[in-house]
Amino acid sequence: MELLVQTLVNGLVLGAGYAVVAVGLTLIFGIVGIANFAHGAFFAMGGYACYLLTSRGLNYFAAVPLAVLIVVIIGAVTEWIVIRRTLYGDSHHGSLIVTFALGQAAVAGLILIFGPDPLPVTSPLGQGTMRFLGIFVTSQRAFIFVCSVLVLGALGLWLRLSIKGQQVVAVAQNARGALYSGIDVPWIRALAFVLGVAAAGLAGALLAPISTIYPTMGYSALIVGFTVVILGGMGSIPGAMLGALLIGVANALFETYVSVSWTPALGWALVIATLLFRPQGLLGQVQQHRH
Amino acid sequence: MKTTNSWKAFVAGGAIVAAALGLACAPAAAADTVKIGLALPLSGAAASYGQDSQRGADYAAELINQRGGILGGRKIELVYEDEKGTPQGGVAAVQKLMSVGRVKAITGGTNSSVVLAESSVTKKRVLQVNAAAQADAITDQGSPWLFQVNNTVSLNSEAFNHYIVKTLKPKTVAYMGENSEFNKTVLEKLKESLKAGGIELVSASTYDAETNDFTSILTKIKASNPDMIYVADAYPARAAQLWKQVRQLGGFKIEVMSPGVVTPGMIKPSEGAMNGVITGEIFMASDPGPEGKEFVENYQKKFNLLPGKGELVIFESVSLIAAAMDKAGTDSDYDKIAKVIRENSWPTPRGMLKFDEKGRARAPYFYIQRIDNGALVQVERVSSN
Amino acid sequence: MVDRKQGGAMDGRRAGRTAREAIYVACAVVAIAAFAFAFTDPFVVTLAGYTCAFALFALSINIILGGVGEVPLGQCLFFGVGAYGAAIGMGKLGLPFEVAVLIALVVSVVLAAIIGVVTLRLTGAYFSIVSWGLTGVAMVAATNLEEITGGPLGLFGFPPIEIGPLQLSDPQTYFAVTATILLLAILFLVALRRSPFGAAMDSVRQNPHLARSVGVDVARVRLKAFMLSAPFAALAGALAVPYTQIVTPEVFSVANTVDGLLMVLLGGAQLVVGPVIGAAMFTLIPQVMNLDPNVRILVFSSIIILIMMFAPGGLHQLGVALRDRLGRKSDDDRSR
Repeated sequence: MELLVQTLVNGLVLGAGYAVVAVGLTLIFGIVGIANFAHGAFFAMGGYACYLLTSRGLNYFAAVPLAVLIVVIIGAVTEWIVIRRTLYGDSHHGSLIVTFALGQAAVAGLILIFGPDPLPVTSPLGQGTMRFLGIFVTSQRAFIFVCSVLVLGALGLWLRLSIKGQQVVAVAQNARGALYSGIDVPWIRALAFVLGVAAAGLAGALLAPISTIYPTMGYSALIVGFTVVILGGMGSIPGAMLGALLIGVANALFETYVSVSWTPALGWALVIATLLFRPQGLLGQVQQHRH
Repeated sequence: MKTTNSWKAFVAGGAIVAAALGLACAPAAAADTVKIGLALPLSGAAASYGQDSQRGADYAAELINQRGGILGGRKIELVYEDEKGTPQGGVAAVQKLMSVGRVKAITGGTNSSVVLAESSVTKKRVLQVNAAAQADAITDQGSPWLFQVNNTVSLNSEAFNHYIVKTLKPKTVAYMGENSEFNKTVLEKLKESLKAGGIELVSASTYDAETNDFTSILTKIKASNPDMIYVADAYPARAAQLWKQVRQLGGFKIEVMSPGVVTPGMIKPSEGAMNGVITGEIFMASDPGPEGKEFVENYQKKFNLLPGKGELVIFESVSLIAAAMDKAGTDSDYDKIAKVIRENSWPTPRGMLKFDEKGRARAPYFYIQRIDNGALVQVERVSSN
Repeated sequence: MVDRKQGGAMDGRRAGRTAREAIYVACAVVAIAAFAFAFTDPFVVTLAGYTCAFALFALSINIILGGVGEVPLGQCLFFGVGAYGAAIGMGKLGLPFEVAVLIALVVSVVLAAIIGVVTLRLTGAYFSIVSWGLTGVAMVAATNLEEITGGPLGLFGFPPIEIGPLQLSDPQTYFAVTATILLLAILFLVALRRSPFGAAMDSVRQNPHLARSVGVDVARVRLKAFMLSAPFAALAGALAVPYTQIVTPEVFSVANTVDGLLMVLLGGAQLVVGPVIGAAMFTLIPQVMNLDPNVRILVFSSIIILIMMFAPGGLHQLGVALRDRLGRKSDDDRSR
């Protein structure tokens, strides 16, 4: 019984980490309309930015928001130079390829700058573990869980209550209508993109002490991100959060009780099942216009 | 007139071409070099291994050339090609070395799949010394001109498991390892040894290369409360993570790691999480034994770094090729060279190496090590028979 | 490297066009034969052969990308099926190479049908992501199912591979075979492009809604294109086996698809031989320039980004634009 509870807790905590990445991805998909294959690269950049700062002696807790800021800047520049230009081209797959190439270029760049070896990021929560009621949760993971909840909660509130947030939602629902209402759609799209990749960067910085940073750390984040987003519904933020938790728990349960070596296939099995039986995902809307 | 001029030009041009051809075909000067090719992963995940190997090889060539070269004063020249860590990269690299680089022998190799691909190209065409790849399958092929310097997985496992059963004596063991060919053999050998020693293997978990979260696996293992955990993972990033997570969950009574994989590049990112872990290796720079002292000292002087196993086996491979050619008196009669290798013992920083019929070298010593304070420390030195 | 047939300019007169193309094909055949006889250096020749095989893979990607306009990130799934099919057939079942390859081709088509039915009816991004994920699953399966696939080390140690009297272990034969197959594939694809099905694919790529409104069954066209591309990729995978002599789970790696995509984009997705040009560049340039591979990835990716920003049609579009600028107005190439 204790093993089951521990496994469930592990899953939830794992899911919290995925959630931040997935929410960023779904934000970009829903509002900017592109599947951001560079998302993993921004995740990695968040981790590396954090490393740059902590290795110079900056405290980890100060490094995380600064790392996010760095990612925001890179994201804004990327959006301005590249994304904007390729989004409205005549080939629909343009954005997919461009973001994919960006991701590849980013990994190559990271290897050239930092080398291929993994690098450690130290957090004051380091090796600590917390126990309550016989359940272990490592301190860093507890921190990630709390951060995720706070950030996602804040995002939700912002979207609902602030003017810019409501504009973002409006653009997601009906871009043309929003344009006619006087909303600066391109600006909102840029904002959404930057927010989305900032979320990925945040997740990277949060997860860095646990996973050590290495150039290809973004791949698994990307795959998990897409799995969660498809499961939860592309464009739905609550969907992304729910999907993340579900996948986290499912992975933990499967790995503990069924088989470790086949666990990577589990996510894809869930995705295929979703596509077969409920293509819009758990909380997504049925797509009005297909690509 | 034009015809006469162009005729003259033609003759002149022809003469020049003939002269050039003549020069090119003239017998080469006596002191041409013996080229040795190295197919190394200079890019990709194993790139740092490739860089280490370059240093080890350069050092070996330098030593040989300082001592006057081989085969009557000919110097060794190293030709490098990047095998990119993939079988097709290995094939291209080896072919390029043979045809464009005109090398007399080939060495290098860390990834078993890559070396296997290369070996099918070099079979019966050139001498190949596999420096570091460990799969038994490579030398099981029985290629007459293929040799292996590093211990195979089985040899390493045998020596290490012997120590586990006889000295560490856990009652129960849990295994976790990446799902690779290397580890498959490690697990098989472990099962055999534990069974023979009456020790119970309570669980074996194999995970995918992409895994970076081991919490569930470790939770499961902890629930069965084994005396000892055996971790088999050769990839520094992942292994460092793994051990951090082990530490966060409270660790185990006895912790060991598969032999032949632990490097400073793995210990450093783990930030102390690996302290207390026991592993094994065929060579230890910090405690090299009498034969190895000079090698370690000179290497350190030259590069300001301690040599690891990777640099060592390349150094040995290059030295072996040169010494064997010298002794056999030829750089291309591979049957003769292979015979010479098999019939003699070769001095190396590890002691005397002998090669069996399959072309494998048996390490003269095996070191049991423990990680203390972020560094590898010798626990025991076992002599192999 | 050999100049392949120059595709592109088509004018309305069928007869003139056919005659010209027949000449191109004849030139290509002669060039292939010349190359095979002139170069004896095994390194150059086998690499050329392998490049042909990989170019075939790039062509299969382009059936989808330049054809129906989706990004088949999972195309290496079929490449792997072809490679493993050939390897398992020869190694475990003792079948001759051709038979093993044929079985692999059939399997790939069936697989494409199943996957296509599930994933193609939704947004393009879904298709790309899921096909990518499936290659990951395939890699896990290949690593775990040791009895069939040889596990992580893979399958190796094949008897000399031959097709009838043609010994593929001989570099020149290998090149001749792969180059001929590549040429046949190109011819087939050109014919496909001109067929009604090719027109249907075009319309689906350019505007699916419009296509649907004039009666084109968009889902069906996509599925058929997908099922058509699979055996090309599988054949490419099988032809790569004589080169590496070993098949590991890495054949399913998305890195192969990425390389293929880069080749297609470099050479131009709208040109049938574009992928082949891209493949040649992709192989030649690193050999000539000896770049650090990460620098190479960085450079190629940046080129792709620039191309997508300024010339989505690939280098071919740039070339055409340049030529038009320089004043030659006789060929109207915009309609491809």
